[in-house]
Amino acid sequence: MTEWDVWFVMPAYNEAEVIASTIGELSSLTGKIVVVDDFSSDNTSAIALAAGAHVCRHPVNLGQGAALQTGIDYALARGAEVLVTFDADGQHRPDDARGMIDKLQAEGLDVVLASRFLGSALGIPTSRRLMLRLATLYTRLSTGLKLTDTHNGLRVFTADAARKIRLRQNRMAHASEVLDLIAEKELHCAEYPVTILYTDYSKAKGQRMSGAFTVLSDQLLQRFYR
Amino acid sequence: MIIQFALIAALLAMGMYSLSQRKRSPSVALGMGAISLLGVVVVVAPDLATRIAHFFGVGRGADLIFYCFIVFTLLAIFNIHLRLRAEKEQLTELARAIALITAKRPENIQ
Repeated sequence: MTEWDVWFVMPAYNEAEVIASTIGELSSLTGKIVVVDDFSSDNTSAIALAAGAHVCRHPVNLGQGAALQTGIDYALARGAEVLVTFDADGQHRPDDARGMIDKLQAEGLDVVLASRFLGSALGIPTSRRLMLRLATLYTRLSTGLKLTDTHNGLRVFTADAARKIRLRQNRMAHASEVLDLIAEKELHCAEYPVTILYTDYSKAKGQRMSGAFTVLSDQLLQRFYR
Repeated sequence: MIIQFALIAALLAMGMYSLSQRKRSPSVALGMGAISLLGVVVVVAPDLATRIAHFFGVGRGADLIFYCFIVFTLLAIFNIHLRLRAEKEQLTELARAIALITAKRPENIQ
């Protein structure tokens, strides 16, 4: 199989503690890395650059969705053929990303989404499991996509698919927005079982239950303007 | 009465401002214009407000005006909120453009 030009897009906000090791782990794969520093107050940018990643830094804090879109724009402008979104906090495994890229190429898909529930979620708190299940149900009802995990930061897109997905949701609602757009543009997508490592670090940086309400209202309000 | 002159002056000023804004945002201008016109009517003829209030099952005209005031204020806040979100999208585009222009590539590789 010919090697495609793979770009890893990694949004990061105050991840100085872990970003070097996350970038280091990815060096086992072929591909370039772009870290989008969402106006961190620590030296995430400098560390990421030293670790060998390209770095875009937002001049203001905008949120993870905005950072993803910036990284996607950057990678597309540099001729990316496959884009992988990858969390900076080290909860994803590079082997899973490799497997997803292979699946994308082998099956000619537009998008491959990671699912921790097809695979395994090591150390997942019960409350988070419940919340993610509810999110899955909501997605099924609102988009018709039959997915098992709707809020996984690990996704693989072809360049064409990435061009069709333009995120307007700057904050956490982007996860649902990606799925809405996949359904709307009728992109061929599949899930791939992955392992998510729930470390104390990733749990502390994760989302709270109350975030679900914010996401719903963000989605609703978007319909009212422009 | 002095209060009536003051209120009418304020409402007329608001009405004139809404006229000046009718090209920029017609719907808001129309709403503001209608409210200032209605306001002048109610200030000139307070009994009318009371009769309308009775029709809707509200005891006093002043109460009806107060309730309407609350609703209009909330609508105005909602409108401003939506504008802020639209502004934020523009800010995002601007910030993204800056981030892309000032992007740094790793020195040791390639």
